[in-house]
Amino acid sequence: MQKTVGIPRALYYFQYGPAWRRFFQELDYPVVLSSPTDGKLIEKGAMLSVEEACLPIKILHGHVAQLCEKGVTYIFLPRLISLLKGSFTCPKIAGAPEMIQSAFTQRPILLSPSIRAGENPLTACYELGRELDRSASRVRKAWTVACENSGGPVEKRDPEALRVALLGHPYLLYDSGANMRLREKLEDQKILVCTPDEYDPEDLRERAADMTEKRIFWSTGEETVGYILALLDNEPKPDGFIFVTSFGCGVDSFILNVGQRLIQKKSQIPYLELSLDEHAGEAGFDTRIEAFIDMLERRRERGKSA
Amino acid sequence: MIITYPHMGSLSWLLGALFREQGIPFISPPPCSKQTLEVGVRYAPQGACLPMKIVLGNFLEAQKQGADTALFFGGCGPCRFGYFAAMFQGICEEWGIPLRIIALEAPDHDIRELFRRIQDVMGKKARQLPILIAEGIRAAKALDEAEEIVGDAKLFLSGQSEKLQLEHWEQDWRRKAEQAASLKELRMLANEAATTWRSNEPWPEEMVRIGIVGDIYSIIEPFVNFQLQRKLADMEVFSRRSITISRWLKEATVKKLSPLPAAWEKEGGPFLNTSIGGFAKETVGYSAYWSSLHWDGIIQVYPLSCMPEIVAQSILPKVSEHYGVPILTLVVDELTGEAGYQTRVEAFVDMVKRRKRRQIAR
Repeated sequence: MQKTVGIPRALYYFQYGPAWRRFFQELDYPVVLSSPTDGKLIEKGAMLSVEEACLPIKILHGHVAQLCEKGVTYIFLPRLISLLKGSFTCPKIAGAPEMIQSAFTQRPILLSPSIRAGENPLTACYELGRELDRSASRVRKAWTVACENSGGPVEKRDPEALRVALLGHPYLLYDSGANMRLREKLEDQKILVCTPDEYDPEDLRERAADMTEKRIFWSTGEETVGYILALLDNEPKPDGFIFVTSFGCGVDSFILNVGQRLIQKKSQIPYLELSLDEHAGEAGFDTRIEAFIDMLERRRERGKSA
Repeated sequence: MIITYPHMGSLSWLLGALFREQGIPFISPPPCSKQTLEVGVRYAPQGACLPMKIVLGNFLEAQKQGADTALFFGGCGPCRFGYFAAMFQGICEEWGIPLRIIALEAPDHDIRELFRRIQDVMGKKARQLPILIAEGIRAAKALDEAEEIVGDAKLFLSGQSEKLQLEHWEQDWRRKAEQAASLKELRMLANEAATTWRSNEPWPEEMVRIGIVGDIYSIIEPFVNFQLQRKLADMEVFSRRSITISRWLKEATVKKLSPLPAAWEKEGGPFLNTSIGGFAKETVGYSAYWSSLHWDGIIQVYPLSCMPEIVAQSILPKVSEHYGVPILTLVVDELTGEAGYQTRVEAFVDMVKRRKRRQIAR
């Protein structure tokens, strides 16, 4: 029977998913994705993980459960300890393979190469190649092809629209199931949604490093602060910021505070904090977004008549 | 410059003795209390972990009493501890609190900056740093040993009057330790305690042994864990912690000389072999290690949202299943009620004692 590699549509899939898929396809391993996050998946994930885990980790558990049901041979869950030199992702992401191993006693084989920035990524790839019975040269070629995979096209923007910048981890900003279709709801109201992926991460990190006395050692955290700085330094500035976080996120508990202080110090731009967890509460969520948008529109009206 | 520092078990005694010895003006923060927590909670971000709130409370209470500089540690993550100092700085700036934070770390690997900061604190005496660190670790070891011996002594006393006597002796001794004029004096005091209370009696067979694991602050600072070890001793339970001040200081200052893994690392390896930050490896490793030695139970204590401990918590059920040793997890935050906490500990100890009696009977 054909061996397959399952990739959970969670965590850093949202940044590196296309590259990962290409890598395995080049090695002649069909990729099976879990379906996009939805309420049932979140519920399942919450049941399988420890209560204290944050929403993205619970979502990961839900996706892995789905892949187990789909009968894949392997599940690709890289141990992403650090993606950029001198910084880390988060302890939970670094320990995710162990969390999954504990939660799922019966499961496909986990492929969890360790990725640490500064180490040669090919070492991890060769390790994968050995497990998947592929030669080193094939692995190297597959890696090169995967790296050439770039992101999607940028759409045309309406310059008159209200601009709202979203701040937070990629697996919350880009997972519509996790953030209760936040982007879609904003776009329905003709709002121009700005996200950190519009900037080069290195550029964002440099801005943040210049600004803070001690470097923020979480890559997403540093990028978020850098993104705020980039937006405040350029025109047109956003009309509002929305922090999307999950309840219990350790990194965000500090980064939001740093970010808020920065926004208040350098501008009068309002911000909204949306905290997500597995207890949805979509109606309340929608109400807060509507109220925020109303407020932004009123501010702009007042600004025009002033 | 008047310095202050955080409370964390015997660390405050060590720092107090060091500063007294070196003639550096300092203020020890008031002992951790509900007020400390209230102050910390008011200024810290809501989602910050409990240790950060308490340490901030320590600093602000000391500042009210005249401190203008606060000493803290640095770190490179990924757990939040390494960013505490930066957060304290931001909060003091935001609220206009006249407190300067000195983080003992080498930012961007700039060792010279670390020495500059130490010199800031200690002046010319900074040159004696290696000697002081060695003295400090020796004193810390003696204090940790004394703590274990005195704690164990409680388990051997059966009479109420004997227990009271020990408690009075201990209170007296603690007062002396808080006022120790030098690291050497602190070490002598610790040795005195060890000599006075050391017992060579064999452990009774039915003595229940419980290992305490979790993040460093929660298991070392009694205010956070509601004097857990004292409570366990009252229930005639022998306990040890996975982290001690002396081991932590040694690992922070002296790189490991031996490449060989310690016994707990070997035992914990199959369950968690990667350093993911904080003390997750210790939590899992010691749980496995003590379970392999047939201890009777493990209690994990950690503050709400502690990232490495959440990972450890998800792995502990596997450890428990493998060795057949029960594990209790207690998550603490500023709203934790002591009564509920006490009930859970008592229930766990009851269960563990019953299991032990059944095992012995067989």
